[in-house]
Amino acid sequence: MNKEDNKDIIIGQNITFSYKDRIILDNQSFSFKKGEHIGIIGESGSGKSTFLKLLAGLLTPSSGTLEVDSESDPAKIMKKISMVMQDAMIMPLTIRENIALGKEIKKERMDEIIKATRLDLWTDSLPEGIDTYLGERADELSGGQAQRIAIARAIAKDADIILLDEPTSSLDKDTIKDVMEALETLTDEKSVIHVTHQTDLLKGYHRILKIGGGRIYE
Amino acid sequence: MNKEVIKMLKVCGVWKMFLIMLILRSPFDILNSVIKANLMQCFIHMIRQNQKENLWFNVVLFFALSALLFGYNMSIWSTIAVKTTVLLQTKLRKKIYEKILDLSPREMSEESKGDWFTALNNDVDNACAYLTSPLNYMHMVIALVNLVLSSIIMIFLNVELYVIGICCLLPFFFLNVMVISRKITFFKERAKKTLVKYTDWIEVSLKEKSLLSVYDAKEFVYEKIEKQSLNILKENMKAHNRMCICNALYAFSGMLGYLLLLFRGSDIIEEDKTDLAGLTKMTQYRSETVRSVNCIYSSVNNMNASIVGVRRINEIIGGENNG
Amino acid sequence: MLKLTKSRGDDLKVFKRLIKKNAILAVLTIILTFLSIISQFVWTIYVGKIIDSIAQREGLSVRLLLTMGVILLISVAFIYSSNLISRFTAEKMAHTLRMDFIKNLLSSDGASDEKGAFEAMSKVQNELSQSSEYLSNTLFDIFSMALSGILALFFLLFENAFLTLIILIPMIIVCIAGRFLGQKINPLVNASMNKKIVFNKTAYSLITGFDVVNVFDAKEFFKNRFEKELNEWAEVETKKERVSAVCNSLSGILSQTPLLVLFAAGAILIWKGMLSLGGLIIFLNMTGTLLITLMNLPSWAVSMKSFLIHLSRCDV
Repeated sequence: MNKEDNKDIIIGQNITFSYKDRIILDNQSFSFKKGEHIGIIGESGSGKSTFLKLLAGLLTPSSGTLEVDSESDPAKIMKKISMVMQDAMIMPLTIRENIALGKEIKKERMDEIIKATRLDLWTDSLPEGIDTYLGERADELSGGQAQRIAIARAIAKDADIILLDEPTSSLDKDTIKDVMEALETLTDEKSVIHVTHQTDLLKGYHRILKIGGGRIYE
Repeated sequence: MNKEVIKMLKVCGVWKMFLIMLILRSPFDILNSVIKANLMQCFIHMIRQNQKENLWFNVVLFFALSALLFGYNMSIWSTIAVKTTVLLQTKLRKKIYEKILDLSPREMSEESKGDWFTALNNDVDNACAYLTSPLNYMHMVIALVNLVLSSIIMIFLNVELYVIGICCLLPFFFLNVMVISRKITFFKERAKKTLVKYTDWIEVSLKEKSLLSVYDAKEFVYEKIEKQSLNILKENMKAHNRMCICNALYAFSGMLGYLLLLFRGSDIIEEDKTDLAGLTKMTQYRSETVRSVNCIYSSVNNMNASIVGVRRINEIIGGENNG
Repeated sequence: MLKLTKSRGDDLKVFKRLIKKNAILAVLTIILTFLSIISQFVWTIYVGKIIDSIAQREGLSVRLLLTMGVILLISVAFIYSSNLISRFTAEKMAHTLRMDFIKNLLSSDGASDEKGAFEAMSKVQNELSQSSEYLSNTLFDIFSMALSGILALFFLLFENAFLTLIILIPMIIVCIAGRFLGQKINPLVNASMNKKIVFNKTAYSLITGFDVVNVFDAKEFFKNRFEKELNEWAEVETKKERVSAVCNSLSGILSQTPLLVLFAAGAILIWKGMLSLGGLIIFLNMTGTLLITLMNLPSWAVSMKSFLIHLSRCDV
């Protein structure tokens, strides 16, 4: 890595954070470098997902400072990150709209994203392609298709920091493999923080941290 | 009008429109009463006086008057009323939606998502129902105008008969409202709670079916459930009994009032102060006052249920003004 | 999907069983309802006699007043008792339904797994609850109103068949017109509901996907989308309300015709000596009942059918 890559992209200093009467972090400091792939594990209910929301700017710490890519304002932090959650959040929109969420994306770029996430195998079979309305069909989507759309959404945003909140936990083994391949496209050369209880998915990650009892540690 | 409702209408900028709609629609019932009462009088008079030549003229006249009245109502309804209600609903939903958008992710995560969805739908529907649905505020006002003006007309026609009519109406009405029907809701709530217990026992018997077989406890559970079911019956019957008394009193006051009006009316006709046509007119107005009183009562009950939606909306959208 | 005749047979089976188990109460209800209606007819007949006496300036005696007073009290007593017994019968039938349901549940092998238990609970909260509700609050009211209308028709035919048949014509026209106008409104009601579902879906997506919307900076997108869908709904809703206004007003105008026809035909018959003024008043008081029955018969039939279907699904 060069000097730029060694830079800390997320810095949390003396962070204390509680949520719904639970202490998630108690005066903890941490930092993640640019381009690092970090895995976060912990017991059920330890606050892994809540920690991720903190990093995303969706929640604010009770005390301490959090900087994400030199930004501390939550609204600006959100612009720096992409997120893929366990629930893909497929909305009653077309496939294109679910990916773009109102942003202008050029045709070539959209085609690239569809291909990278292997959604083309499905969309090519639809009469209206990526302009197919998913409203009533959302329930018919497989878990894999839904997560691919969520990943496509994250790729479209092209943020440097990717937060993954158990994106494969509700999928079967074969689908996990497909979705992980799509995720590789997303996370290549990005800073990744991946919350999961499936530790085998964290092979090749630079660090694995554990969260629990108000602490975050290796 | 309730302060909360006025506040909500002002915030949405439809207050003036609503007032105009209210003023324009309020005479409908009284005009209908006047037409019907005069129709009765006219036809009875025509029949008694053998005025065969006036028959078809009167039929056409009263049909035309009714058509004009309904036409007037239709024109108000299809223009101002529709515009006001749709605009109110649209604005309320937009404002609530904007409030949701303004929330921070933390605020959203700490609040019940269901409550926001309820606000966008049930509360808006309740608030609009308060104002314009059948037997709510609008109908209450229309019925009130009908009641007041019908009463004034009856007083002008014959004070004595009016007093007889009122004496046979109001005491029974207040007896119903203040004594008898007050506890109906209470008994219905108790029946609902007992129903919950019944459902709980059903759940137990479903989940522990095997255990009940092993311990030969099916009969025991059946008896428990029977007890709950009988309690539901008892509580419902308490509510039903009161409703039956209300209905009987309502019928009694209606029939008694009509009877006394006829008997006293007969004496007044003998004194040549009125004729049968005039008496029939009075009975028609009387039935309109009875109908209006019941309409007001039902409307007030419904409004009490709907006002909850208005309060919740005002809590959400606050006091910001919208021109 | 079962054929109508077959399903009706199944649906009635449960209902017949409930009636059979509460036979005495059901018979008592029918008798008291009948007597209540008859007592009100007697009242109306005497009102007619009073009107005739007033018209002929015969004066009204104290005896007549007392007679009317007795009829009034008997009538009110019958109204109260028939209402009470019919409600009690309905509640007893609801109780029988609940107990038959649980008896069946405890004795059967079904509902022992999680799926079966879920289905049984769903039945309790839906079919059983709706059937009980219908029994408690609607069944005997409809029965009473329908019986009232039918007896009124026979009574009026007995009083003056010609006049009855004359006024039936505009009544039937009003009913047909009402159904026709209702059919104009129904598609618009559905269209409005569908548009409402669309904007509600967007709102639901925003609320449930709030984090995603924030992370991907899609608030403006969701705001514009919601406004667009809301405006589309407003357009359809406005059209629906306008059509409702026209149809209901037309229906209102038409509903005046039976009364006017009654007056016109009644006047002619009175002048020909074939009817008295009191008789006309009797017709005036009864036609309201008849018109209500005629107009509501289709909707009562629909609600009854729905009730019987729910009943048949209660697995009793």
